[in-house]
Amino acid sequence: MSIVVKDLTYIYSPGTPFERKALDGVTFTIEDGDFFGIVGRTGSGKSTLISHFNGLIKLMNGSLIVEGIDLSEKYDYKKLRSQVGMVFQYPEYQLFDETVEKDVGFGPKNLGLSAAEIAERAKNAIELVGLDYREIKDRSPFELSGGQMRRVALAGVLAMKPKTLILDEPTAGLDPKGKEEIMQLLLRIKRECPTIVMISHNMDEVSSYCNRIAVLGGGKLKGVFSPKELFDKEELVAEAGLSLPMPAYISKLLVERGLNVSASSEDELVQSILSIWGAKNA
Amino acid sequence: MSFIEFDNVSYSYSAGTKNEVKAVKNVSFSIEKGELVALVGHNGSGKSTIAKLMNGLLLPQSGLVKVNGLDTADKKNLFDIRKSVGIVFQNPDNQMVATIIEDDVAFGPENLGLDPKEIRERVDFALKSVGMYEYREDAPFRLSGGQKQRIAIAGVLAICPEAMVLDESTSMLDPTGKKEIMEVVTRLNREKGMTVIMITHFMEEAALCDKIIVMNDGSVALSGGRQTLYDDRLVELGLKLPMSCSVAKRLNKSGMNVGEVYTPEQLAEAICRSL
Ligand SMILES: Nc1ncnc2c1ncn2[C@@H]1O[C@H](COP(=O)(O)OP(=O)(O)OP(=O)(O)O)[C@@H](O)[C@H]1O
Ligand SMILES: Nc1ncnc2c1ncn2[C@@H]1O[C@H](COP(=O)(O)OP(=O)(O)O)[C@@H](O)[C@H]1O
Ligand SMILES: [Mg+2]
Ligand SMILES: [Mg+2]
Repeated sequence: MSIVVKDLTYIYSPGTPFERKALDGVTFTIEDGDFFGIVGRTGSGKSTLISHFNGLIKLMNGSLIVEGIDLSEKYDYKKLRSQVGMVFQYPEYQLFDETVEKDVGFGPKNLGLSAAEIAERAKNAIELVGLDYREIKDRSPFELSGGQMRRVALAGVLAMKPKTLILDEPTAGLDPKGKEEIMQLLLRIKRECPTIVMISHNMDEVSSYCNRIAVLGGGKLKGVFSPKELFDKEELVAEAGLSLPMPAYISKLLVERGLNVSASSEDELVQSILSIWGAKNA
Repeated sequence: MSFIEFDNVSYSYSAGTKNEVKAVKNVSFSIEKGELVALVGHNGSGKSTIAKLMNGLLLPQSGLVKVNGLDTADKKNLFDIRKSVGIVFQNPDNQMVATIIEDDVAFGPENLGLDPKEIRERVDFALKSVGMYEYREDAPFRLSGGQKQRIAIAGVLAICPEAMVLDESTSMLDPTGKKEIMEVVTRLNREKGMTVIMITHFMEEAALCDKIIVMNDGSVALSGGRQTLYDDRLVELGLKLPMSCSVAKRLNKSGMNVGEVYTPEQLAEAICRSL
């Protein structure tokens, strides 16, 4: 089991007029090998939840075990940081070093590794995110395109060789091609870093890539579902501010109009419409 | 005279140095009052640079940008231009100025010298429009990413500008939130005639606009009405069609004629009609 969350409650600024309960008794488990999605409205507690997973937010209530490390006791902070890689919203805003190679090597350097090991890790991570190491290593991260900067930021986290990778909206702000590339990249990374947890507002992405999805609403867990289970629950989808993935939404509109269509991809959708049309014209 | 005119505009960052980036190259287009325009294109194609050229935050190095006939390069026009064109930028963190949310939203109207009652009304309207009224007395730094984006939008709504530029300003919102903001701006466009320029990677949103300008490597690659979405070059430029359009296109190619549709609802209707 990768991450075990039990009865997690978190309150920002407790005891002040601005007290706000961001998490309220959240309990669930993320298994090894999951591509785990977290969805919910803005302010529902998603970022607060994942900030607990690498110790960025201190446990206030409940218990949390991450990669075998019990965060409700005194624990080895460095070890946790090296096992759990965290990629924040718009991670490219946090790039800072003068070259790509130095930026990516920053984490391993902090682990106190040898220069050779740091260089090796930076090289591997840069290649893992699909960038040309020799071409890019000496460039400034700030003169890269949006999609490239996002990959460099991701490489910096991968250079720590985490066992679990946690990403907060990894494709936000990227163009359609960049989005697709990052998602394909995550599938490739998953072979080396088997557990991936991703917050996303993109329902097409969540339904195509995640095997399990947690829904948050007002700090409470509304449940953990497979994509099919979730998108069959119309009421929950609406209540949690979600939408159906596009193929499912178009299918639903067609069902309402008396056609028998249930597609989970554009190809399926086109095929089932054409076969209905073909049958009518046969 | 059009409301916003770009005439052969070019802009380079770090011009004249070895790091020069030609972000906008010889761009010409015009936007009429009351239009709902989508500005789309790959990352780095120059969209945000165009947004900043629209209200004089950046000045063209060659060519001319005019708003209401006023040249953005003329300093004495800037106050009027910024009053007419409000921009919500990509990164909300750079836009918060005050320590209390409602003060932040009031900042724009206060600068316009409005009376306190009018300011209060506008701030309340703006905060309610983006669903953040209950948070009005809180501090901006205590918000989630999506909540900050909502406040940034409210800040511009409160100015009641003639034109609003939304530079990927809903990228961190949940699907319902995105839809709600889209509804707020399309309503202001329809009912108050506010000109809206949406910079977006969500082609579903572009499909709801009257006009689409497609950028590629700093130049305008395509522009025109909604039917631009059916131009084959769009896919060649690496953009993705809204699924309703791409499904319609594929059905049309297979001989099932559903015509040109722009929303899932229109697609469903058209399919039923042609069965
Ligand atoms: N630093 C903070 N101080 C006080 N309250 C905060 C802080 N950060 C977040 N909150 C509040 O906690 C709640 C949960 O916020 P969180 O950032 O976890 O939401 P989220 O689900 O990640 O939203 P989004 O989709 O917009 O990123 C919200 O009500 C938010 O206003
Ligand atoms: N402040 C800046 N300094 C240097 N180059 C920049 C700056 N802002 C943008 N650029 C560059 O200008 C080009 C266009 O960028 P931008 O207008 O932000 O595109 P878009 O908004 O379409 O992603 C890109 O090559 C980008 O890297
Ligand atoms: Mg968040
Ligand atoms: Mg931009």
